[in-house]
Amino acid sequence: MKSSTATTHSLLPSLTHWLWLLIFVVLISPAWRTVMVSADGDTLMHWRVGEWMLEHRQIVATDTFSHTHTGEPVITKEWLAEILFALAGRAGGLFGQACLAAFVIATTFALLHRQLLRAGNDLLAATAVTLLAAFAANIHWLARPHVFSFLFVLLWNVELLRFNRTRQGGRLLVILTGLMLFWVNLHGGFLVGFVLLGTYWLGAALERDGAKLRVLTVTGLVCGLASLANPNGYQLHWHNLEFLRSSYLTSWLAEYASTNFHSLGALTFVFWIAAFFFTLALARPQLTLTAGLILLTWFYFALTAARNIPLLALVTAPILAAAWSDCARGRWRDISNRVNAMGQTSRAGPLVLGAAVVIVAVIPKSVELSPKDWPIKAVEFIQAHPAQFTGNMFNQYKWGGYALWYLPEHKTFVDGRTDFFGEPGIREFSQVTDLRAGWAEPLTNRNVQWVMMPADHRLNLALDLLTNEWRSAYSDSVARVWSKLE
Amino acid sequence: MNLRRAFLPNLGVMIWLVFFLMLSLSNWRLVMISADGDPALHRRIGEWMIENRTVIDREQFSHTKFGAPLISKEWLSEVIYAGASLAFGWNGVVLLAAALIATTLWLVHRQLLAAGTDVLLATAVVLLTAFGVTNHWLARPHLVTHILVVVFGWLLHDYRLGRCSARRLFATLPVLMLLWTNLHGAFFTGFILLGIFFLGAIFERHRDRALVLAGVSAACLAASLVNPNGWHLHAQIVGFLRTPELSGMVNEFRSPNFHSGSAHGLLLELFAVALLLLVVRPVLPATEILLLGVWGYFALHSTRNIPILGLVAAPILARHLQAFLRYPLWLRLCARAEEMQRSTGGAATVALAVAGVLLIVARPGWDSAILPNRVPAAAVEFIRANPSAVRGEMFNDYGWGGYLLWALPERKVFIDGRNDFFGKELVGEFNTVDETKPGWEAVLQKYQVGWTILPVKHPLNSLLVLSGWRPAYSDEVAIVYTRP
Repeated sequence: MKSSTATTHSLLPSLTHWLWLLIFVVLISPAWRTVMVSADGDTLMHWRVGEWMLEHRQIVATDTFSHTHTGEPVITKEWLAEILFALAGRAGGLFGQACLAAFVIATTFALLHRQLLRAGNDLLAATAVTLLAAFAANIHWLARPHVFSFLFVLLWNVELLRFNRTRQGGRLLVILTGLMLFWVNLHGGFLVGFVLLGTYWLGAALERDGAKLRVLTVTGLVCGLASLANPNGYQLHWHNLEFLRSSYLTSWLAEYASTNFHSLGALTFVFWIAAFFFTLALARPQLTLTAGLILLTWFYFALTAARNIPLLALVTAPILAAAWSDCARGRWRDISNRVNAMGQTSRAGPLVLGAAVVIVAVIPKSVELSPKDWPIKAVEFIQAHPAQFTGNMFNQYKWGGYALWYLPEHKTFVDGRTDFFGEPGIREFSQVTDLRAGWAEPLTNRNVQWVMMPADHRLNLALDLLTNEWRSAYSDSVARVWSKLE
Repeated sequence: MNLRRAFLPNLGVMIWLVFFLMLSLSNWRLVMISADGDPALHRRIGEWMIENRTVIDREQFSHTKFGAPLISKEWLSEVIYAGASLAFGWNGVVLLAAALIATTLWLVHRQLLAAGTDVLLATAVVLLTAFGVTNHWLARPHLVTHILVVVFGWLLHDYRLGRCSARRLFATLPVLMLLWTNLHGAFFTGFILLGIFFLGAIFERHRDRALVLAGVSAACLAASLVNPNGWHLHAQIVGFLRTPELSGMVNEFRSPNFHSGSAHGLLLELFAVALLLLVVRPVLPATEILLLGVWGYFALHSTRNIPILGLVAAPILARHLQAFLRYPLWLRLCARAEEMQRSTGGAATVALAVAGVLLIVARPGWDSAILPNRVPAAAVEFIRANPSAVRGEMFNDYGWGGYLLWALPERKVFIDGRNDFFGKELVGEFNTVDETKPGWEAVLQKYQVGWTILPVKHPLNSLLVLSGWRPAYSDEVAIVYTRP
């Protein structure tokens, strides 16, 4: 009787399993999966690049997608993730891509929950912190390679925290090196790993812990070497740093901008800041030097660029959970311990995974991009009248990825690969879209024969006035397409 | 001994002198009047009120809303700034602004000393506060709000700690509010401070204190109605804050951009608060937690609140750091500094410094002028010299509106920094043209615009060229186009 009860309990999903399933199901729901694949043009851009690599069975090394930079060497920051997304795309189209992103994101936060519990935190505190972290991080839940950086930041931090507790230097070296080998090929955010490692190193230096310092130094050096195992070697690192050093390019990209606290989306960040402020002010936890450094550096990074908010949440969640756990006492703690004990015996992982597979198989899989945001009808028109649209295109930046995927026979003027186009490329594009003096020169110099822009864009007003040079070929409430007169 | 006291400045006076001299004599004086068009705007309105000996109540400066009823949020400050400018030109505006800023910091220093902070720590905290406040050191009426925030905060802290009676609070705060409501539109800040102390009293379970604060708030509210527009002033400000289309177009109402140097002051303030919570770990009373939390949020929300956070956080940082700083070396240094502080004053030095600065600025050749690379100074000169070169009404850059209505008073602007007055509809029409949206030509026609004055890189210039408008003037700052 006892053993059958135990078996029944082990088949009940733990709270971690439920969290995984909840996040996964929410993310593959029709509303959210559409946002994940269509918030910007990069999902389609990465899919196109990945698909090219699958078709050609090689890693992309020169540009074949834009007419402004054709044949120029490309430093690919995320070739492996692009291939994985392209495989998911082959299996299930945009729905497949959404499922892959949902799987990675759900796994990240389930692992965060598990890590918080293994660190001895109160179950309810760990669950609340995980949910709050997920809420803070959701601003950047998109079907793009950066979701792998969420997972790797978490795994990386887990190992560093474990090392801080157990001091198993060998394990740290092996695991972080292994993680870096993948991370450096999955996403350009691998540099975050070195920032984290550096913070722990600085903490050890300030605490004058020589043994820890030695292990972290060796690990950093070995991970540095491991990060060279990518198709572009050290040039990848240089390329990423050059991009980050360009204030012009980082100000160009919305996700590198500081948070606009007037927007509703900023509430998630406000909640995370408020959680820490009130915890530090009321609970007054005594933090280690390393924890203090992590808080200060990652809050700074998150204030500077909104894209760092998810990383802040993942890296600082253990600090918040520990402080909240210390506040949990009495009956609250008893309930928490009882539920946690049940969860620890759970072996329902495969069951939950099976349930997810069933849900994926059963639900409708269509992903409709919003016809209010994307030039769907315009592209259909262009496809139906290929003779009218020969020669080079000028396109809106955000629509570059869309054009890459749905108009593969045409090359873009610009797309989401800002780092590849660099400052000169983006300035050239902006000269046209900002109607700066000499705005038509890039169009002439690049031999642009047709233009596709959002209907309310100022460039349409200028082309409209140049009736002897440009003709309106297509127009709807979303897009206008112009072709150059002979 | 008396001479020493008269001439040797103590640390508080030294702070006043350093900031007054730095702001009134260095290039900062030019930044204070050139960072945006509002110093010129307020000066012009103030001068109009002095000339006409009346508080302005009808629009005079724009052709788009000429004659419309006007609610003046800061008429008294504008008159004071205009008085200074009539006496000394832009130098007068600069000196007044420098004196207000220096006085704010001196008051913070006095407040910290009065609260028992040692003189060295008080000086360090004031310098930190000064760094946090720099992003909004502009010669405009809001500087009065900074002073009044310090005074309000000081009295409310003193009342909370039992150093000030309820009677004194009732006698002072409503009077200050009466002044504030006529000096600057941010008098609402006083009510937020009162609200925080009221909530703090409730959380700290001081029912009597909460009742007194509720009474003082009601008295302040009544006092705030004593202004040329009564409750309409309050309604206009609330309406403005609730209209993101209006507040969103003002830089200082936007969230700070942490990529730019202007956010460094806020970063330092946040860093100081974080260190306090992480290292000192004080037991903060509810009022202080609310003050830091609410104003921290407001500072992240709008850059114009960064100085308020600095001024509000200063006494909290000082109080709790004081308990932490118990190192023998620090205590020895403090003892020596306190001794010096007691035996010094510096009133005569202040008088000499002010007289010296007045002599310097009165010299021919010493000029404080708006930086010509920030405004279309040469274009304005051209138009004044060639009035027939432009016909019809003007369309101007938003940031240049204040400068243009001051430098080119014979013309009326399309828009200027008073977007709360211009309202959502007109600002929308302005944006249609400014952001070159479809319908831009219709707006220009509706307002009979005959010429534009815009920055060289403005996208509208290219559309005007394509539409056949002719360039009347151009330099590296501005282009003037006229309708064909």
